[in-house]
Amino acid sequence: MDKLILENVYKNYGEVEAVKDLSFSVKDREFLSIVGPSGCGKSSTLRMVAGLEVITAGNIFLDGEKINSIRARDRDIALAFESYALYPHLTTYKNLAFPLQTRRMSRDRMREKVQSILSLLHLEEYRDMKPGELSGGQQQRISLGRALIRDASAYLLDEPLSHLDAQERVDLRVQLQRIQKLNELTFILVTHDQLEALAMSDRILVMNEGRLQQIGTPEELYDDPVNLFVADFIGEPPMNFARGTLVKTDQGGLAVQCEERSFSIPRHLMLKKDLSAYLNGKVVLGVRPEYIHLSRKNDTGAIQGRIYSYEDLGEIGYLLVVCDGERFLIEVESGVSYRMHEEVFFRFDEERVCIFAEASGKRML
Amino acid sequence: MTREEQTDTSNGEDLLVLRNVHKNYGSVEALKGIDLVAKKGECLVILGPSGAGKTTTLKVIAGLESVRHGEIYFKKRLLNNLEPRERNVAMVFETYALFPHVTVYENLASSLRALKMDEKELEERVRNIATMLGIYPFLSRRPGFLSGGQRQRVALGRALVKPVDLYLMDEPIAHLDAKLRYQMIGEFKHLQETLKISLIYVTHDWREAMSLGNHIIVLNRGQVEQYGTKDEVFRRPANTFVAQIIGDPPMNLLRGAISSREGRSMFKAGNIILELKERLDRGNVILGIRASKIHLATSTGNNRVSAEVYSSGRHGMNTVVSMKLGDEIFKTEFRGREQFTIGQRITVQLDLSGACIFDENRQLIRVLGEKDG
Repeated sequence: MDKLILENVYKNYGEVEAVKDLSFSVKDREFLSIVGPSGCGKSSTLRMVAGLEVITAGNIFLDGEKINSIRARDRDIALAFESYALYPHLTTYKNLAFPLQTRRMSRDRMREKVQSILSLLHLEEYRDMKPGELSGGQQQRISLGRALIRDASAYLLDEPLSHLDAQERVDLRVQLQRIQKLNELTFILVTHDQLEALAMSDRILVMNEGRLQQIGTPEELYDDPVNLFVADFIGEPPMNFARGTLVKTDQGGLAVQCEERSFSIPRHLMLKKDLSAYLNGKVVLGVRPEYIHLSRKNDTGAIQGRIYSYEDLGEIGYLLVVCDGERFLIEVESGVSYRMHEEVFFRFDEERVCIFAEASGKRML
Repeated sequence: MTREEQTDTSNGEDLLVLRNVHKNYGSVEALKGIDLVAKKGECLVILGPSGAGKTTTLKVIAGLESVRHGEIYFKKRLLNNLEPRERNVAMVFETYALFPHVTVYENLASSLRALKMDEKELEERVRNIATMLGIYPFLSRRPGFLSGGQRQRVALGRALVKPVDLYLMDEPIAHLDAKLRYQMIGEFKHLQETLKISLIYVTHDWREAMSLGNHIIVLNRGQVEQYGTKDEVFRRPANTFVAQIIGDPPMNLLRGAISSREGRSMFKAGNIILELKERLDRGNVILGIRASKIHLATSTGNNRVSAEVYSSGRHGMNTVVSMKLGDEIFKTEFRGREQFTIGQRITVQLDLSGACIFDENRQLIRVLGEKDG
């Protein structure tokens, strides 16, 4: 069942179109993350769902009911925003209990709920302190707790982990996912951090310049990006790109001709899709660091390069290889020693090569 | 410059030595006895969380802060009372600005003009460093017309163009976005190895430390937790702090006790019993095991342990899993895209080769043998 549906939603701020023709749905009990660079429209989208922004055009449905003109506080939605908006004169405990007081809950039940949130978010020791005495990360956890303590139809979280230090953030990712799954809640989380989204979500929606780029599971976005933007935005270390022209080779195959060398496109990939329409067009070849493998000189498809730098991270290593002006980062095993400028051979995992049209960014292969 | 200062030491020799350096800010002890050695032609990384004293250490070396007691030797010469400009070190801080109104060339050249270098030599240095950094084509542009990464390289060039004996860098790429950081680390590494410059590099990021450091010094609350080669710091962490500051996910720790039976040693933590290859003295210990040594169990093999999935998600083509193992939450990554649900029981195999045994005070006792049957 769909919990939330956005249908051709637009948001204009004066002349500026912040969100353009956005349609997607969130399933009941789903954890959906919206990611994109700053200014992509992700927070505006969340604010429209919350009712904090009026939508310029389109429809929003929650639990099957159109909520376009329902006021924010009458929508059955819990919110946690990046700015904490805590009551400065109330203690952590009272800030957390506040959303429950209007709901005619017994004192014991309330105490129990607050206590469980305090322990879940590691806030017990700050129970009786006021926001002014706490760090940004601690305040952010209270703000998150205040959203989670409520019973709501959907939970909207805007960069809820942004002010935490690295260790806390990793811990809270785990906690957030557990809260959502164990209580069967619907979460919509906005973040600029694609690693965070990949680590927690059932599905991810990628936005850029106000438009939806792709919506899918973490593995769909990682392995099958629909365009150059998604391919580049998702994944760290990032996908390798080589820009060139799509040409026919002497052997009748296809290749991407870069400035100083060409990379042939595996034949069986060419069978998947007819690329003749793109011939002599500008294209971008993309391969992720994990999908490039070191090989021997005589292996089919072996490409020669020279080592530019090598990093050994203890459990994994990265080789940066230069190959006639193009550069590729290759994931390798740790514990091998490489010399700078040493000649190496590598090949692409044929199933994993992406080709994009440069102008539109659209994935062709 | 005196004759003595010009005599060159060869690569690998001690260039800078700190002995028992203390620094106070009022009553706050920022550095509580720092010892370190920076070798010529190498990169020494100072790694630690915020408040560890990393930047203070760098400032003390540069002469921007005085020391309370302790000695700083540079090429065997006591440096304590030398003015910053007499120290022949170049320093780059995390935030450093380019001049927006002049070209890239002028941005690089201006840091040499102060040295009264002759114009021809100056031009050669600027062009060399620009080539090395891949910004040669942009020398006549102004910074505003460059991408973020290109600007960053110009900023780096401004520091590296100066002919000094030791470069000091404080989180030089921390404010770049993650993707640019990967590029810059590769550039940095290439540059450092090509030019064989001597460098002290401050960071809170273990990846940067492992990528760039020949030696790493781990600081925490103004004290040295460990100083060693990057390999030593990774494979033989002196204590659990060092073990956990390096790696993502960090090293998993399990409290338990070692006992012996029929000449064999076992590690026991609640229901978890692990066989050790070597004989160890009995007692309470902490076992440390890295994520890469935790595998989904096959039907054979020893040291199989039952665990409960606590949460799971994706990391690139890997699956990140945290699991409840005894009383601890272990974090690991498996290659591939298996689906796990919260609460699911799985059996994992712990490969104890390379595992660390720490005592109750969290200090390393030993590293277990490389091969585990």
